[in-house]
Amino acid sequence: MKFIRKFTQKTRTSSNRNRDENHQGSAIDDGHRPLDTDLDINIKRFREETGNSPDLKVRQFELGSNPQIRVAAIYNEGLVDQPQLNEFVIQPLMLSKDRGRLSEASGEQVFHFLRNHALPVGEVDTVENWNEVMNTVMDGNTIIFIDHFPVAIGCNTSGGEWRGIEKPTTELSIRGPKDSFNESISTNISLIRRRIKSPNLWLEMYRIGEITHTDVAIMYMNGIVSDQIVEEVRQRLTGIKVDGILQAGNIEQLIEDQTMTPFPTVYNTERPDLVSRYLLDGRVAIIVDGTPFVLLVPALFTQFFVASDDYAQRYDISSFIRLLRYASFLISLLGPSIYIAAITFHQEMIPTPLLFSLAATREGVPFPALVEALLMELSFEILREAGIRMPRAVGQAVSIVGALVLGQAAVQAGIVSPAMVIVVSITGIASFSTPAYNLAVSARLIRFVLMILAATFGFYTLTLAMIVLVAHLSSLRSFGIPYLSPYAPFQMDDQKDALVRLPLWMLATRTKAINKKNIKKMEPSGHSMLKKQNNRPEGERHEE
Amino acid sequence: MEKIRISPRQLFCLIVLFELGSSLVIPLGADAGQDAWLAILAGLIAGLLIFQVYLYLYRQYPAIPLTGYIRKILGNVLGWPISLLYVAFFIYGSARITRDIGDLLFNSVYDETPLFLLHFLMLAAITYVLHKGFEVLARTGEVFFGIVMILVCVGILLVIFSGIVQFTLLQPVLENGWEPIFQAVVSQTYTFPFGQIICFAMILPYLAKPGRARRAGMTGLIVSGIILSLITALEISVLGADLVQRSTFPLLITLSKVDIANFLQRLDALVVFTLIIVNFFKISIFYYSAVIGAADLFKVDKLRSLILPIGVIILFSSMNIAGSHAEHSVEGDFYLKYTLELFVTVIPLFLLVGSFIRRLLGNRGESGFSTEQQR
Amino acid sequence: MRSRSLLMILCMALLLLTGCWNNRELGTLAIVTAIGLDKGKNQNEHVFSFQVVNPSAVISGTVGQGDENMGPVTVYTETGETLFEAARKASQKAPRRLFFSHVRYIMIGEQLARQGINGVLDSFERSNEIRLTARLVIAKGRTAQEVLAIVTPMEKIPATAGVGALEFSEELWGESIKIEFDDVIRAIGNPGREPMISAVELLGNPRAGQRVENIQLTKPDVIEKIGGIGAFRTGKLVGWLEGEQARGVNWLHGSLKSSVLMVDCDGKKDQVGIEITRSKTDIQGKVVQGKPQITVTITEEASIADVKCAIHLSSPAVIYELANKLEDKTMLQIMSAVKAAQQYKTDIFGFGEVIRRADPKAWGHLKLDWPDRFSQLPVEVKVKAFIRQPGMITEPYLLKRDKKVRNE
Repeated sequence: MKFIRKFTQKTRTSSNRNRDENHQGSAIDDGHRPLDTDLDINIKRFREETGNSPDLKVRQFELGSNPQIRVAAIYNEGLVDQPQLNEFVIQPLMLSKDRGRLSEASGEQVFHFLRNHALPVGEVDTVENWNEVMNTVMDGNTIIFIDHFPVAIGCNTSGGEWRGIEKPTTELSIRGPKDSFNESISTNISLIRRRIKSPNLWLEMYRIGEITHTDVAIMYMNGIVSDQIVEEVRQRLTGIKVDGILQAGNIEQLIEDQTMTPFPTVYNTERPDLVSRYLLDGRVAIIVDGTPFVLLVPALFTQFFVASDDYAQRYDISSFIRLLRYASFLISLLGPSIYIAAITFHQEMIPTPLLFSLAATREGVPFPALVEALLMELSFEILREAGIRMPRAVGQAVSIVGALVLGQAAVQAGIVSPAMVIVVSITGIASFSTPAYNLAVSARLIRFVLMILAATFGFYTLTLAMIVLVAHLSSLRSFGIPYLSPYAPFQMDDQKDALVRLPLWMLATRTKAINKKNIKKMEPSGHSMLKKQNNRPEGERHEE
Repeated sequence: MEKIRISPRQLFCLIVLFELGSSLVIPLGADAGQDAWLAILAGLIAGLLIFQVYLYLYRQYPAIPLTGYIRKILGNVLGWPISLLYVAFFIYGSARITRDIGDLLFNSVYDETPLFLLHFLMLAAITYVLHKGFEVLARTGEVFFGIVMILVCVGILLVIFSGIVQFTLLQPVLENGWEPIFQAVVSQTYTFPFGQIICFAMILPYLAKPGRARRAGMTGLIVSGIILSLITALEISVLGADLVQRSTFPLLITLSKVDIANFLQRLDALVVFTLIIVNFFKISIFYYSAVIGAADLFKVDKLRSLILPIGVIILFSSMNIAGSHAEHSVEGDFYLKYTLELFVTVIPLFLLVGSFIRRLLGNRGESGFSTEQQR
Repeated sequence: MRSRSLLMILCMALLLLTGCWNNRELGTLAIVTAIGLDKGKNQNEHVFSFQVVNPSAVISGTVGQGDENMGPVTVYTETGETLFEAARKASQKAPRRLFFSHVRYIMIGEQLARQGINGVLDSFERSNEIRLTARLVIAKGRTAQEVLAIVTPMEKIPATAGVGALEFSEELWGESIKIEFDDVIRAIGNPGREPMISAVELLGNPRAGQRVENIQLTKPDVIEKIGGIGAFRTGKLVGWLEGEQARGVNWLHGSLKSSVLMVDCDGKKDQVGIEITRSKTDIQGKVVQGKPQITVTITEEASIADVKCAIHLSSPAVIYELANKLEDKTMLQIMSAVKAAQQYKTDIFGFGEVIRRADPKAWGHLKLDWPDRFSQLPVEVKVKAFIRQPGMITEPYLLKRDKKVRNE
């Protein structure tokens, strides 16, 4: 522990100087002490510094015959791939046919022999100091110490148990691909690589978290992405100084442009197909080890209304559904507040028969409309939270008891009006139809403020609040890109995939708000629709 | 000046919202009876003419606002007080529109709410947005331009489809000849709303592409003029010229008459929503013009620090400019006939002549100061 | 940063503390659906009746409290000089605040209508609650409060029933006119037009209609009926146009949607019923040598509804003849309306406006004595009728029998 603390203190001061260095700390200090030549001292020291943790195994054996050279393999039991370790590291070392050659060899000769002949694993490193030893072991690799030689060998044996690739749990789709990210960064990267088979898909690795050393990768399409954005991402990532990064959400909150806002300015998804899509659209993906969600920047407001299915279905259907999503976002934002404003301030705006019905259902309700609405909304939020946190089997019961029994009883007891139950339910359901959970949450939060405003001044404050809300949205930026584009600033070319989605053959350019270079993504002749135009007789041609 | 850049499209949106602001509320050009819509179109033409003057002055001094080139043209001694008057004019303008919308809300729905509070809420929202910067206002304007256009179209279609339009109420055209129309143009429709575009003389220096100012401004004026004329014609053909003239708020009454299939009715919310939006932008632009002017005059570098004080001034003057709605209206007549005429036509024409003289004398910069003094 | 959040908290607190000036909970409102206006004892005094809906009695299926025993409406009556005085006074009686935005119609007692309505309408116009879509109706031969207190079958809210009857009568029969509040105001302020208002009358004993039992009877003791159009001159009711005259008014008003006319056939009266399906009215005016003239052109489409005599409906000549008869009949009805209005010297058709549009200059002096000129105004009516559809059957069965008789 002491060692780590020292190490972290050191890197904190040094890393500012070398931002571009991926692995922190280059100065020679305690952590960078070279290894000893004596194997026993090395093992002892390793034991001491890791507090004799029993999951860190030290396997000693001897090589050669005269005199025998002692070798030790050190690895973390839980993080290595056991079969691989046995088959490709331990076995070759102990049973190698060439062992005879090692008679009377020095430590250095053994080292070279092992490195070049004996270890049939993909990746072998030379490890020269304690810092690297620790990192290597903690990553699940195996270190091989050799007696009488101050350099160790690190073999890539990392593996261990990961959750497999499963179906997405939060972003479902009907026709789109059904795989989703898991907690392993290498799996996640491979999922993306498998979709974009291009050497221009570039990857940069970072280690963030002074103690946790979490692997963080950024991926982008070189030649498409704007260099400015990549540079901005690099700077913000290397600027993070925190002891632990446990999930992507931590990174998100540390790199977003504006924290005093309920709106998300970083996009996250668990779907590799969406990530690939956005990489091709000039965004930067941030992949954090241990989180099945990949962050994408810059994030625009419109992006949160896009689901993977939009591109799987025909354009007219997906346009309709997208409009529906915008509408339901507005409902989830404004539903209860419009209802409150209408029945407490603007009764004249309700059609007469409807007003009679509302008045009849509200007869005998003991609370003012605002209190009634807050009551219902709060209990709905509680139900929702309970439904998420409860074990799955019980969650069902909670929602049944909550929604059916409680609602029914409250209405029959005359505590709340049926109309309010309807409004709250529609609002709740509408908030589920926003594809992005984090935007739906922000709507939930703002809804309460709007409800209070509606109950104090009706539509007047509600309208003002909407203006202020839009102004707030248009003041936001995500990595320098105006959040509300392409609506404001208005960008005609980007409208074709914003409120609606036009046919794919018309989506011939990347998002202009983000991309400055390499705008075109489709050759005009690449689609039958356009070919047809090209094949027309000369006189009828319209293009050019 | 802060580094703010707005696009020609944003300028266009702001101009339309600005022109619709508060002119949608009142019976515009009512002096011309059923020809009010013609009076608006005639006012539009006059407005376009005076806009050429502002454009000319803008081209002479593309980097500085109106208050800046007043002092350049007239010299500091004469120019400074006139610029100060302009700042006061902008403050009064925004206070007046605040009062308009306050009175309207008070009369229609919020008759038991203190007027002060209604004003406070409006100005608080505006102050927040301006605090975020003029660019944010411009972007917000783009979004709400779309929304307002949709609302206007929906409103017009609803009125037409509900079958309450009687075009005979628009006849006879030119019953009393052109004279009442000219009177309406002179007394109202030219200065209000079209002449008020003088505010944009303060804002034009922010334009990212100065070459596009003419196009954005002209189309903005024309679009808003046509919308206003169309809406006024609809109001008259639904309510009749007399009722339009007498009502404080003809558009609301017009929409409240819509009834399609006994279901699409009571659509006043549409109107109130539209009105709050357009008035919001009109007040904001007057407000910000005052802020720019004040910053320019008092050499304040950070515009932002002036926003709150000027907001407070507007808030209190909106309460104190008149004791009652009647007084407010009487004052309004004076404002339309004389105040606006002075600031919108007379002074800019003087500036035009001044800048011609300056050009004839050969632009000698500060040395031209003495010649201006003699004039 | 801290100061800004403090400011935010202050604003929020302000909003919450301010309470709710205009916040009116639905439960505190008495929704008025109709207002009755009657003559008071004194010259300037009026009796206002407010018909208030009891929502839970009107809406069935309310959980727990569908109260069938409660009357669907309650009528509060109060005297006062203006609407507002009366409305505020009524708060002594009504347990809730009267709310006027949903007033469907304003009913004027005949007595008051004869005395004059000009003075009382201002406070209705000025109110920010009453809408211009409210209709005006005259209670023919009754006071408004009597009519408002009647409970009606089918529609639980009498106001809705009244509006329904007015609407369907206009749409199917053509003897009433949808007159909204602003129509009357426009007519009052216009020298070239006088207001007209449709009327409602009661059949049966009005006292019986005040009990809820009235609607439990299959044949109610008392029922409302639409009864003609009242013509006004200088704000006073001067006469009624009923039956054919009322339909003529509708024609001239351009609001006739459909109706049924009976025409003669085989020398017998009213044998063929013709349903008018579409009608277009065009009124042109001109001033010849200082004398105004009006030409009314009606283009109507009709179909045959029923036939009581034996005629060949498949023959174009017969149809043509029927169309001719229809034209004559239409013209007669229109002329009867014009005659009646001329007799009352009240230009409810807005002929003055037509003249004004046609010749604004001449109108300048014509308007000075317009009522007199109107009473002698030459009106020419041209009707063009087209019978397009013979109905579901081409030849009437009577014709078949005739043929058979002849063949034998």
